[in-house]
Order: sequence, then C-alpha cells, then structure tokens
Amino acid sequence: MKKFIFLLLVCRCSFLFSSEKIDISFEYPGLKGDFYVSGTIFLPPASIFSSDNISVMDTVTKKEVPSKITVSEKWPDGSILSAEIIFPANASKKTQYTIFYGNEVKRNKIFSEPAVLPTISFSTGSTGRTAENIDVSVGQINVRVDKSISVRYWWYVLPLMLLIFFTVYRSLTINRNYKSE
Amino acid sequence: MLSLILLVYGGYIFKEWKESAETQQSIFPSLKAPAGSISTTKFEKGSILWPSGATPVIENYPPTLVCRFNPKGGMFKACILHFFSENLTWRTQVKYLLPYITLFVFLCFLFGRAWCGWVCPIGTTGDFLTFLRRKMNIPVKRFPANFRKNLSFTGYALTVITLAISTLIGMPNLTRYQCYWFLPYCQICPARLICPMFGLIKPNWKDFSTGITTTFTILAWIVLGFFIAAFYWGRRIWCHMCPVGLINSWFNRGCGIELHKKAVKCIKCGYCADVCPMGLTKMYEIDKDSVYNQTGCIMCMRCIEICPRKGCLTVKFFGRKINVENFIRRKTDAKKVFEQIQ
Repeated sequence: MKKFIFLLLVCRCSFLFSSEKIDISFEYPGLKGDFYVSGTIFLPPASIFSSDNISVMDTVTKKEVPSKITVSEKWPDGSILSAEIIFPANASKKTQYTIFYGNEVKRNKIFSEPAVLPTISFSTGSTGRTAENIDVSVGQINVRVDKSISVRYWWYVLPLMLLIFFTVYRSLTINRNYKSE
Repeated sequence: MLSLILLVYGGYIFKEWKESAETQQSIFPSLKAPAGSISTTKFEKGSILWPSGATPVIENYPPTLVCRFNPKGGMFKACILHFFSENLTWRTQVKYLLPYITLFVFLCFLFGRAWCGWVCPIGTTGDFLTFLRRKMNIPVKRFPANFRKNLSFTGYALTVITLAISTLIGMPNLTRYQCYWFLPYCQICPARLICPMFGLIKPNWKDFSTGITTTFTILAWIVLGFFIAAFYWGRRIWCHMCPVGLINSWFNRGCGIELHKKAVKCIKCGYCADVCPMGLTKMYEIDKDSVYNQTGCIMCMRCIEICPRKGCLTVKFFGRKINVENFIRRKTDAKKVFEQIQ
C-alpha cells in the first residue's frame, strides 16, 4: 500500500513538474537583418495557468530568447488554451526555436517591441486545437459541451449510399432492362 | 454558355443570396483551414500556392473544372480534386465533408459527364480553341485508340499521386512540407492559369522563390502548352486526362441521362463516330437496340445532332424521352456535317 501511495505521489509530482515542448518552423525568404517572429500556440487543458510558464529557447545555443506572450483564450478551468508569442530573430543566423511550456518552466526574459520591424508568422509543428469537446467538472455532474458544428451524419450518409447504390444498379441493369419501342 | 456564366460570374449575380446563406445556418457547414496551418498562412502574395486575397474556406463543388484560383468566382468555387486534396491535408473530419460529397454525387448521378460537355469552363475554352482551329483550317489529327487510353491512365496516375501527397503532408511529422506541396495538382493544372482570367484577374504565372515552386511553375507551363496544343491536334484531348472528368465518368453509365440507339434505323454512315469529340465509336458499332452510355462520353449530343436518320439516336432522362431538337440544331447540310466532323 505504501509503495502504491509512493508511486502515486511520484506520478503526481512528475505531472506537477513536467514540461512539454513545441518545435516551431518558419522561413524568411528575401528578409535581411532583424525581424519579429509571431504566431499562436494551442495548449491542452490544465497544462499551464500563467503565461510565465512559457518560454522560447534557441535550439542551437540552448539559451532563452526574450519573448512577449499574450494569452488569447482560456479553457473553462482557467488554464491557457491559446497564446500569442512574439520574439525577435535575425536572418543572418540559421536558428531553430523551441517553445517550452509546463509548471517547471519559468520565463526570465521578457521582450517588448522597441522598433518597427517586419514580422513573419510561424506555425506550430504537431500541436493544434484537437479537442472536439470541453469537459467541465462541476462536482458530481459532468457537463459536456459539444463544440462541433451541427452536422447530422445520417442525413448525408443515407442519401449518399442510396445514390451510389442506384448508380451502380442502373449501370449494371440499364442495358439488360432495355425495351425497344 | 448560360451555365458557364453562372459558374464563373454567379457570385456577383446572386451576391445577396450567397451572403445571407453564409450568415445563416446552412446545410453546408462553413469550414475553414485549421488555425496556424502552414498551407494557408505561408504564401499570400504573388505565390502560385494560394490565390492572393482569398479566404481558405470550403464551398460547394460541382463536377466540373471550376477553379478556386478565380477568387472572385461564382457560386461554385473549386473542383472536387481541390476539395479532396485540401481536406486531406487539413485532416478535416469526414462528417463535415459529407454534405459536399453528397451534393457532388447527386449532381453526377443526375447528369453524369454532361457537366463536362455542357458546363465545364475549361471544356468551353477548349471548344473555343477548336473553333479557332477550324477557322484556321488546321486539319484534325487521328490518334491511335491507345493514345486516349494512355491519357486516361495518366489522369488516374496524377489523381492518385495528388491524393497521396496531400495525405502525407497532412501528417503531423510532415507538416513542414505543406508550404511546398499544398494542392500539388492545382499547381500544374491549366485551370489555375485560365480560370482567373474569366474573373479579369491576372493569374500567378510564375513563382521562382524556391526550387519546388520553380519546378511547379515550369510544369504548369508545360501542361498549359499541352492543353492548348491538344485542342489543335484534336477535339477534347484534355478531357481524357482531366481528373475531375475521370471521377465524373464513374457515374456515367448509371446516370440519369441515357443515350439510346435504334439499330434498325442506322444506315452505318459513321458520322456519329467521326463527330464524337472523345473519339468513341461504340454508338456506331452497336448492332442492336441499346443504351450506349460509356464512361468516356461527355453527353455533348453531337452524335444525335449529326445523325442523318431521325429517331435513330435519342436521349432519355430516367426513361423519359427528351426532345433534344429543342436545344440542338440537327445538321443535315453536307457542308455543315463536314465542318462538324473536322
């Protein structure tokens, strides 16, 4: 039992102090000198609650890059759903960036846009707003909010199947049933 | 002609109706590209990869080669290959695509490849080129039967390759390639260069920003060259390898339009085979009363128009006879018959 509780604690602690990473990619054809990189990241529910738990790292030098992070949307539990990130970059250096987020991540370098520079958008690798539903825990009752567009599946599947069936049926039998006038 | 105007300029004519349908709950849900998708944010200006200024949304798709690259286009905005290609990359759920697929299959079930023969903007452009060829007295070339078969094979191969690439770049690990390989067939399709001109928009003729876009630009020029040359060699050569026409042809034998032959009236003059823009000869070869719908037939009714024996070839719509002479002019004059055969 003690082992079980210990294991549970370890698991819980590892969850508390875990961090995840997002690889980002962008291209700057025709750009020279300094520019800003801007984009939005989407996070799973209950991952982080503050924008200070997100930081941008230069993958090559392993150093933190100063960033400006604005929370755009939150999940119903108060955790961050999406955040807009802006950070400076230079076209002369071939660099790769990674965004870390998690409770153990602490952002140290805050960045404000001091100059007007060209901005290019980045895109996040495999992350995206994948959840179709939001589970809102209200004690004993679990409320599921369906975010999907109201498409009634069978309204379309049935006619589609019928149309395909009739097409195949007609193409097979049209000549067999032919009656000369 | 009327269908072409509706397809290309219908957006202007029914502007209010279209806007109200977009704001209200529609049976066709408005779907947009996923947020942050490279395929929609990467290239915006002057790129061949996306029509500049167009919002990436899914609209209705008819069984013709109307093109998304005419952003000020009509009620229908793109071809079905574009639809499959972009949604495989976006990994859109099938349930959202079903309304559009159902509409497409319904339109195919009703009219089959009559869409190709009567409505398609690219087919109409080709017919105009054929008209010019006749005016310039350039004789039509006779190709071996296998040539048209090989073209169909090329079309199927292009379709399969396009769908495979679109699926692959939709995978999470390969999203970085979306900026180069998004809508691969569209990049080389002649409709991308021709359709914008219907909307008085300058198409993106070239994009030499990267190696891949340069390759696509050159391929697009080669295919456009083949498209124009094909109509000078013969009639509707392009339609044999058009992927949309090939998908459409699966429904041709079972569609609502039926082409009937009464063998006893046939005098074996061979005009029907000579005049067929798709080079089909079955209607000539049949020796018994029969329906002669074929996968390659674009239902242009030229065979009926040219047939010297009234009542030999007829059209029915789900078994009901249609008096085609209401909308086609039967060619009886020998000179006109000869012109049509060219």
